[in-house]
Amino acid sequence: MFSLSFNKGAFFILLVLSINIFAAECEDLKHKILEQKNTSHENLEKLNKGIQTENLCYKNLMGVMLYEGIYFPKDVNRSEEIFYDLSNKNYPESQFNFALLLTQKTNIAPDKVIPLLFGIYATYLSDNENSHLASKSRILLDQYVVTLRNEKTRRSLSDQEIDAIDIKIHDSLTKYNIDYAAQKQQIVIENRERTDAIMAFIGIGLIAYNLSSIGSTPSPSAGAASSGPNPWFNYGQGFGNPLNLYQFGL
Amino acid sequence: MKKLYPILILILLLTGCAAPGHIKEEASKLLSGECLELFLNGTPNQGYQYQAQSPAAGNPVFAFAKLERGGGVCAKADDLWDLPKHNCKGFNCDLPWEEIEAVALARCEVHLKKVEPNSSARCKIYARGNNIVWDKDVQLKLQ
Repeated sequence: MFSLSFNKGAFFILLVLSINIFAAECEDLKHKILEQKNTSHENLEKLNKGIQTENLCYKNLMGVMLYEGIYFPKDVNRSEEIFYDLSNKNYPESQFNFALLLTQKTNIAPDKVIPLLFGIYATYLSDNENSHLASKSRILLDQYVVTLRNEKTRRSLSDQEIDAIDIKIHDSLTKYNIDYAAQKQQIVIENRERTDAIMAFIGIGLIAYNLSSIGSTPSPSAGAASSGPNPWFNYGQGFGNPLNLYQFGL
Repeated sequence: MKKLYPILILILLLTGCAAPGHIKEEASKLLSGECLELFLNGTPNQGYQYQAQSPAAGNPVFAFAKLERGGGVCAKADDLWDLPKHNCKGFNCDLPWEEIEAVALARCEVHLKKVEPNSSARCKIYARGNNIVWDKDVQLKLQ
């Protein structure tokens, strides 16, 4: 029984470790290929192995390489397909990438793009691992409005329509943030009240303890100060209590 | 002399943290009046500068809206007093900056609506701690 649960535990730890190692390796490879433009044989081999293991991070990296034309010939449509596929598998970075590509397409209506960006913002705002995507989505929403204004003829949009989109984005985001802040504030208040209640309970306990010890006959340990090398704490011991003062158990 | 130590410590605690010179200089380029005061406030515990300079005092974010008539509206938020802790990893309970930003933006917008109900100004993030991000271009790229 023990060995079975131990094996399960060990398997789980190994699984978590291997996932973390894979993720760290992919991030490292991503940095080498995208930032340093290092497409050495060794790096491509790693990429190939990663893709074969169906790891979403490596597939996403492949999508970025196709979009930017790194090593592979530039293929925007293929990269969009990859990001779309990974988005449906809830891979956060691909969801952002897919939304980013959509903001650049003049034939996609804003009401198809904006909910996607809001979705990313709301989903990853509290997620320590992916929260950077939330702020990027917020910034992208701002930049998208600028893009719409710059490309209004190509996108067949009037100034009034863009103004309306702009106000709608701002109002929605503000409303979301206000609700979010209120919800979090409520939890903070509840936590504080709980802590205060515990402290009050402890305080009442201490007062009750002190009151119960005041009227009773002083026991040898209650009245006596702690023993030790400090003469002030030992005052009264051995020679009685000449001043007949109540002594706190220090 | 030794008798003066507690008084000196008390003075230090009460004065809190003053903003570094370059931060003061950069902040006063855009902020003024109450907003500048709020940003440079070094009062222990909840003063913006105190938090920005003391890692244990919480991570503060400052949001600001520039008004057409001059001046502005602002608000601050931090992860110690305004947000519940979650997703702690070991001893690290730091919350994502984005969460603190959301609260700072919400407060700033609410304040803006009260002060200037008809204004078209908008609240934006001015700084994360003492890292001033206002008007800094962000180049978004594929992740």
